[in-house]
Amino acid sequence: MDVEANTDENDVTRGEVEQVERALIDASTRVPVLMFYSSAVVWLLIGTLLAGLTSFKMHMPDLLGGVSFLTWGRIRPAHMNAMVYGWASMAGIGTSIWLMARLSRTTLRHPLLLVTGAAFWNLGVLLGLGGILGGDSTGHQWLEFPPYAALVLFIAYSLVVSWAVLMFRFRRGGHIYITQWYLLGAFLWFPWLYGATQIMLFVAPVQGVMQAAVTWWFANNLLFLWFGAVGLGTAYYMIPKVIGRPVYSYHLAAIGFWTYAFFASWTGMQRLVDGPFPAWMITASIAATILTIIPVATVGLNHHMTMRGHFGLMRYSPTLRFTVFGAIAYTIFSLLGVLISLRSVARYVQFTQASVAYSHLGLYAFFTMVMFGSMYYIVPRLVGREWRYASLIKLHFWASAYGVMLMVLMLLVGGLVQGRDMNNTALSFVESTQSILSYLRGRSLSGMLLTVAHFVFAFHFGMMLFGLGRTASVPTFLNPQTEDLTHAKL
Amino acid sequence: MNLAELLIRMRRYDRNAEVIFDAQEPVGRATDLVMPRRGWWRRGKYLSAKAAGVPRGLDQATNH
Repeated sequence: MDVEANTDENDVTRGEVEQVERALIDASTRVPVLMFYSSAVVWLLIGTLLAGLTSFKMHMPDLLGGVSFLTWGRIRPAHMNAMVYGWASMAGIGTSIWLMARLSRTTLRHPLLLVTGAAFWNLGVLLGLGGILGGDSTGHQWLEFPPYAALVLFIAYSLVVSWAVLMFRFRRGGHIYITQWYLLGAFLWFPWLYGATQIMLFVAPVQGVMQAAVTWWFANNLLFLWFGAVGLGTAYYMIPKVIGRPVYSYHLAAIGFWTYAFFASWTGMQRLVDGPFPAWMITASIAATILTIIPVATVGLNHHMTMRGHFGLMRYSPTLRFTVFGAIAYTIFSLLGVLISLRSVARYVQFTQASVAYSHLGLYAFFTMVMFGSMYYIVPRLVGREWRYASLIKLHFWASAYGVMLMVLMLLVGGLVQGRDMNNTALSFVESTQSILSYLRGRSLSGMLLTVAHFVFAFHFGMMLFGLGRTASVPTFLNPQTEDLTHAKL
Repeated sequence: MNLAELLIRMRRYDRNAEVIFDAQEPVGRATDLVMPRRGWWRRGKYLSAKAAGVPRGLDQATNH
């Protein structure tokens, strides 16, 4: 009896200590993570408005055509860069800081430096967007920020990444969780991608068509090695944590990570099929893209087997429903990437809206949905309050899910029609663009759904930020079990 | 290293998958189950956890 009592007592003590530790870690990350998140949400709204204008201009080209900084050639790159560097990167960094602190079991020291990093990052994005809208774009996809803005971004990134690496270095406990592999990989891959590309395009520029090769290598790998790694790392934490079940196979996760790291960095050139490049460059990228099926299959299998028997919990957890949606979208995104990289398919779709569908599938359906899921999990733990309205969470989820699915469908089908018509020598180029007008209108409709989703989320997030979330202890008010218990007592 | 050692080492390695759990949030305890089981068209009515097919352990859900 004494032994049992001691054991119980030790368990309680250990549990309490862990709870206090967790609270301290969350408190130390509160200011920087919330700063990254709130900045990300503001950029999300700006990017959404720019996206709406970009989309409408595709089928209403005269819309605001007289305003120079609102011409299509400026607002499209402004929209993409606002989403890539403003929303997605800042949300990803915020989630990464919190995950790294939790997994390293260490409090964040000198959080003010991370706040400075966030401020610099915002300044970089602001300068960049101003430069693009002012006509100072570089013209390279996803690298349109003028060099002065890129430099500010790089300084901001250095401040952030040094802290993440230091946190990992001074972690407690010998175990390294899969999420930490992915996050650490992402933190090292991003400066490699961004730095190398900046040097090869602007500092010591390569000549001629090689610039296109560098640009596509960057754009593709930003999706895979930066957003992909942060998104997968987050999913590997959120899914097991929410359902309370360890990931199905750690070995499978290891295989997935290393094959991903090895094959993904070879991709990019498949976007230049039939371009003026040595055939081996494009073939190597196509082969690498096909080989990414290995990490995709292992990650997909691991997530599926972990979730098996627990899919019903998606009803109760906003984190889980967004994350699982994102994880499924990752598999579809990767398989679509393999399909459109094949020469026979690429010849039809590479200069069409299908390419835009692919980007939206990766950056939105996969990455953004996983980020929404992580924010639903992390924000209540930082502000000490629960999300106020379940109905707003549902509205956000369904508007996002239907919006992005409709958008991808419209762009994919429209891309196939466009590709068919562009390859039809009997039709002029103008006719091939006219044939997809109805699909572009459908895309604008889906964009309106996404706009609703983003404004709903921003409103709900703002409530949390200003302390208007619901006060809750354990279990939270929305938990159906609470209701059941109440009825049972009555 | 013989096969037995390799298997032991592999099993130990697989336990890394459990490092995200602790005494407060152990394996088997779901977290973050904050949404009600409530349909769009039956707003006032909560379904019971049993009727909704919630696995055992939901009653231990925490939100720390």
